Amino acid sequence: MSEFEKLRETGLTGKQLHVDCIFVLEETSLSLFFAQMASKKTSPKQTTMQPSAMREHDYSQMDVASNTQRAIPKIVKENQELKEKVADLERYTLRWNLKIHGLKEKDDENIREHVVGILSKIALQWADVMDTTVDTVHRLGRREEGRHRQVILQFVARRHRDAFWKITKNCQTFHGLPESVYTNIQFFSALFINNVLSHVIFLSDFSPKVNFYWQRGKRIIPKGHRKGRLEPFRFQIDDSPHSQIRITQQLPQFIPIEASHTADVPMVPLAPNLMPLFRRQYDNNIFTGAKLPDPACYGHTQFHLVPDRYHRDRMMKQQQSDQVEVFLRANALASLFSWTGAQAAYQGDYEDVCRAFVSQAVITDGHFFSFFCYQLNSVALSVETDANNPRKNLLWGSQSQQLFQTVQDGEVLGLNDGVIKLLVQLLMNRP
Amino acid sequence: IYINIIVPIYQLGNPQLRIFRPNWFLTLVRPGKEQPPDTAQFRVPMEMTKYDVKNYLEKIYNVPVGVVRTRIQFGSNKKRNHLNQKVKKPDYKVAYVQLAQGQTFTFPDVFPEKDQTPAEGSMEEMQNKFMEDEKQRQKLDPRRGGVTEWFGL
Repeated sequence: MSEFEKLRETGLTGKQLHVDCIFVLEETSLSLFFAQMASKKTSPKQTTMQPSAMREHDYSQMDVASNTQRAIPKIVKENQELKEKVADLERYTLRWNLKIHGLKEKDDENIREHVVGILSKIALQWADVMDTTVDTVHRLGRREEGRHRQVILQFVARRHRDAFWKITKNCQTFHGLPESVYTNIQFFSALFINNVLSHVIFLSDFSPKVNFYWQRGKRIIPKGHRKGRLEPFRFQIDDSPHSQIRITQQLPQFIPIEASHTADVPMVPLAPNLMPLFRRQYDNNIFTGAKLPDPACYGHTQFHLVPDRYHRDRMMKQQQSDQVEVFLRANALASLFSWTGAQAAYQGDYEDVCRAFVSQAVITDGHFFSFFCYQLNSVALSVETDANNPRKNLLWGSQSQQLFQTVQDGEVLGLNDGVIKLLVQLLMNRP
Repeated sequence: IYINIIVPIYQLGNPQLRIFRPNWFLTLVRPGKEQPPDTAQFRVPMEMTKYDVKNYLEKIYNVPVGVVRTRIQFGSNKKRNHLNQKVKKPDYKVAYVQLAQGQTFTFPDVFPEKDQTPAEGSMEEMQNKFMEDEKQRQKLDPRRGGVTEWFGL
């Protein structure tokens, strides 16, 4: 029998002794210890000993009847503490992990290679070290028909995971569920990833800002401390499309740059403040919708909504139905020009582009759709560079077509397949 | 809108006035700066709004109007008269009217250059001829090459 058991027999309970934990002492030291205990006055501070947070109780030795009632709240509390601790530990280790949804599953796939390939394309700057940065990759759960299991990947260092997570943050469909222990990445659509040209990454923005700035011509400053001096005319387009898709590679040209020399462009020799769209220009911004280090720097498609002011019915009330098409065309022209111009500027083409920048746009008000394609052939916008420039920027557009006739009782009548086909064709345009 | 005119009150036997003519008058002016081809410039009374101008032109003159933009031109208060009092030039509102349906408008030439040659056999022609002869006689010898008379030995 151990010393403690002897003590138990003598009738001294834990309360009187104020011994909160049991630790195995040698026989000699134990007797000394208890001698000290008996001599001193029992006070909580002196006698409580807690080398670790855990408290163990020797349940087998307790008197069941009297001590169970007192033990239950302690046990409950201990259980909760244990649970919290386990959860904490789990959460701590999962800081090295990331979870991917929507990645299609194939028989006999090398998931590690596949995922490493995808990550290298997202973060092109770490493409060569991606293999060493990613520790393990595996699918979760049992293999089932028709279900694409989630992929868990573990990084070697936490900072790699954090940095990578940051890069994919501008990917809209990223979820950060606070309750779950994993963090998620979701790509725009697994459909695009598993295409034949799966090395092109599509990233989508929602309500991005697109700005473009350029200068042309001279004007005399009318008032102020710089009065009378010459200054170039500043032009700025600020646009906020509903959403846009950007890709890592340039779309193919519609027609070669030389073929655009024959198009004719209407010349407007008047100052911009006579045009109805003039507003005083303050900020000079050039922005595509994503900042410089983003790998998807070329634009694919933009989606625009028609504002209420130019809605079809309102125009009809004001007897200006012919202006609807004009507005759509003008909107597409301005938005696409600013977007492609900003892309060119981000690639370093300030004087003239080496290859054409191509983008597409869809403008809709829910009922009517119109599709536009734009090819930017030159960024020579100032008077000097534009003197002998035969290149023209071209916009191809469609008339606005209605997607459906009416919607009655939840049923869609007269669904126009041509519109859907055009839309899909536009979106499927790949480099 | 408030119009400070007294509408004649209806009494039995009066004709019923069904057309109310506004007390506003538009003035078509030549634009100072070059305007887009479909824009016309008007001076309008201060109380008129964009919608008033649009309705005015559409209803009274049957002009299809697209959009109207207005601004108020400040008349200067800088000039002073002989008593050193400031003289205010009156303010006026300018409306730029863009015509719909692709119509264009250029301000016509109100004072065209008239051909000054007088009719044959009239007094003016004889007078002009006489004046020209006089001037010819007053001129110096062309062989002197424009040198004045008092040069010389």
